[in-house]
Amino acid sequence: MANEKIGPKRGVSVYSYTGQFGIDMDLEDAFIEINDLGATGIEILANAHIENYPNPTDEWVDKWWALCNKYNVTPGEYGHWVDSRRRKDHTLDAKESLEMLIRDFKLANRLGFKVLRTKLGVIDDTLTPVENWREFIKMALPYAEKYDVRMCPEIHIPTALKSKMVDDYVEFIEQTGTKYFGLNIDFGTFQNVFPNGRRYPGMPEDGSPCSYPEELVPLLKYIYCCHAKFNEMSEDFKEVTIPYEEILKVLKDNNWNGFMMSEYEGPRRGEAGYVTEQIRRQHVMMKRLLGEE
Amino acid sequence: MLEREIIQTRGFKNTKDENGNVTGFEFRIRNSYYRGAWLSMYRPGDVVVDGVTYPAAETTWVVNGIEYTPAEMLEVEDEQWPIDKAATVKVKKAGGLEMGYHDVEISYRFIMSYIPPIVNSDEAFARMPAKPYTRRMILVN
Repeated sequence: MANEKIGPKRGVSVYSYTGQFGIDMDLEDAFIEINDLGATGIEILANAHIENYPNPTDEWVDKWWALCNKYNVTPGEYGHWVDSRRRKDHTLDAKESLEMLIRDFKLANRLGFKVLRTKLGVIDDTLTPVENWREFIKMALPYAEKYDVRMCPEIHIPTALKSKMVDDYVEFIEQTGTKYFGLNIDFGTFQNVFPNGRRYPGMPEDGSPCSYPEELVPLLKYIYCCHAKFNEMSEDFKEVTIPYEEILKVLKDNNWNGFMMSEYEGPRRGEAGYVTEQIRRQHVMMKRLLGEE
Repeated sequence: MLEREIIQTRGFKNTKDENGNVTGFEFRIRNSYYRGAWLSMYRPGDVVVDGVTYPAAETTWVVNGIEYTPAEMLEVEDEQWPIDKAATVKVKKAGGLEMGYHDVEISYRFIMSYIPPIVNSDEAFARMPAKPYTRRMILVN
């Protein structure tokens, strides 16, 4: 089965259909689009795409599995959040955060996901995670093992691969020796063309990108999933802001194994035909770069 | 399915009590964000109809069939307002609105813990007023 292939694999995050979902598109439509692309993985956002989250009915869960089977799509990544500022009067403490994590571990496990995109609360404009993250992630590790899920914070522009944040995560992984906490790399960190000069706080002042693709190499063993972020695909199947050729070469040459989830972040979001065409262009590009037949 | 506009045409009507008296009006809104959030994270804003402001604190939201004041929503940490179901906003107004066109406006905010507090917090919201959603709609009943 294509899904069991080792190497970088193509998938789609249902996030890409933001603004369509629930309006002119439902979950099965997303599966149909993914199947059309010959992609084999799906990323959902728990708080968006699971009906009646966090308490889906058994019927909904059965439907989920039926869709995965019918369209030959693997549950690739489960997006969830630790909503640290859920309460007005205080930041969630470690125990409250842990409870939130465990609820998602159970649900992800029930839906067949082994990789989680775990979004942590931040405290500043360079996206530094909440101060107690080490404490509650450490408490969560035995539960992650029990439910067979890997928590992965997302490394997202303007965060660089060479940064204190990534160093801190790697240090945590190495000190605990855990296989249940890793990284999700969003390809936006490699963005090297900035239309309208739009930059983010904390980016290099000389105009260079946050990160370079070769910087992935020492991190690959900790990366369980990537966001194939894209902003604009041209008609000749090139992403005009992010160096896909170099990124996919690094992943392929180093035998990285995991899903690259298409995440469309460009204009005209929610416009049915437009977003679909952008994703199709991106998958033509990725198939070519991966050398898929 | 929902309409693309945030304020939904379907559901705009006068509210009646059990005796048939018109006690106010109501309309539905869909969630503008890409994910649902716990009710404690929402900050309902004022409703403005035809230039008349109805303060948020005097409105209620019906989410998943349960009616809440904004203050009550702050205490609900295990129930979400999802992206695929509209919330009904209820406004008290004896006699309700007249049949015909009305300019309806509402704003609301929500706390997102992964967005820097400098732009996403109650302090930031006080500094930067929300851009309201508006729609001209017809009330029939």
